[in-house]
Amino acid sequence: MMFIPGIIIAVVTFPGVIIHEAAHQLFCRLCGVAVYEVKYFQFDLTTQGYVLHGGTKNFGESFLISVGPFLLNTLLCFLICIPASLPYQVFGDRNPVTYALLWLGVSIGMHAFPSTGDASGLWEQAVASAKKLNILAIISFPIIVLIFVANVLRVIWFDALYGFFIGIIVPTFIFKHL
Amino acid sequence: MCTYCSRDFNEAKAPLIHGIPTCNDCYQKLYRRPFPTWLTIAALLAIAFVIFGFWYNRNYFIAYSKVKFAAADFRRGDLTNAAVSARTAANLFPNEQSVGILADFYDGYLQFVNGNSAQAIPYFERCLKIDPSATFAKFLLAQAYVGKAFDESNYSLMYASAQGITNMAPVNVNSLLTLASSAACLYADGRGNRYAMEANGLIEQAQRIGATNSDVYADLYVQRIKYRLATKKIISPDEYTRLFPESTNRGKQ
Repeated sequence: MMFIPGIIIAVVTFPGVIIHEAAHQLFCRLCGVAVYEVKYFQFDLTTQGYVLHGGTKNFGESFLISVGPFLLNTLLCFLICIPASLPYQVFGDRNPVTYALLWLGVSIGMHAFPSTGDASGLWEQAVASAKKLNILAIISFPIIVLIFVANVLRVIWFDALYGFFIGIIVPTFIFKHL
Repeated sequence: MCTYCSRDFNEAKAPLIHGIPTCNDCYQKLYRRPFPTWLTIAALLAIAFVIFGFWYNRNYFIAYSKVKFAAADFRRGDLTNAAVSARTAANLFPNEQSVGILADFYDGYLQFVNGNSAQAIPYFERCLKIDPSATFAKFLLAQAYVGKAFDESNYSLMYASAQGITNMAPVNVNSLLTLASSAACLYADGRGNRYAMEANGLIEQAQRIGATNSDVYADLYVQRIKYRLATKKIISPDEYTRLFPESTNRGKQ
């Protein structure tokens, strides 16, 4: 297993980091939550991007803001890779346009999972909301656990595998079964 | 005083957002914070690039849909359209062997069922050159050689080729009837009664296998072989169809 420092992966896949933070910002805006500061990308060993936002009115908003990047990055990864996945996977095409699309799409897909910071914040709010019998909060526990697991599995390139799965495997599967 | 822009409210209290004094302008900026221009431009460029990607790789999508259509046509028994679609796909990617082999197979099959065995041979040979393990193409190629030999009235070669098919598929109705047909041709050509006996034996053997899966196509083939044995006349499938219009069996010798 090859170990590459996170900052290098973030630099190579910087569009994914930018889209991840933009997704947090977008969902803050959709939920009417104040955004104080956004850093779309920075050269930092631990945090390559962040969004500082205000408090939310309910757990639903917190959940959406936290998992927003997962939804948006996954969707964009799929859409961007569509024009490249069929030529790449079915015909074995290796032209530069196909490679560029795959790089862009998979980079975005790789950064779909919320960070452990996002998951920790969400966990605290889920615990508080679950005590008030909030259904979404109760349902979200296994999802938050999955986010933690996904973050742990980054050491074995789970994020990259997810990007390849959404960007290459899923579109190819759909094309084959159309 | 506004924490963000330092606007002074003098004696009045600045509105608090999460306990932080914030003026109305900053409040709007915070809640409807715009995306930076560079990000908007980058997003538009990315959309343009994806559209360009679709255009640049369009032939792959056209070829793939043609291959899909060809497979659907083939399943429906519309070989003509299957061959046209597959050939269109192959022409888009002349160097793509996986599409080329499909187009050659459909073209060869179309020629074969239309009774043009000699024309079918090069197509099947090209298929097998790319994929020597393509069993069905191998089988059809052998059938096409039998057909070619029949067309050239070379019944000894026809019989030898049919024996090859029987070796390939010994318990197959089609291969047994092809050998029966070849034996019937040799009998009709005056090579001796043993070929008539062999043909009848092979027909019985084929009927025993085919009894479980009634095949009209095979029944018509049997009728033509029996006609050959009874009359000692070797006629083409077209002539046979003219003599017996109820028969629609084509492509068999």
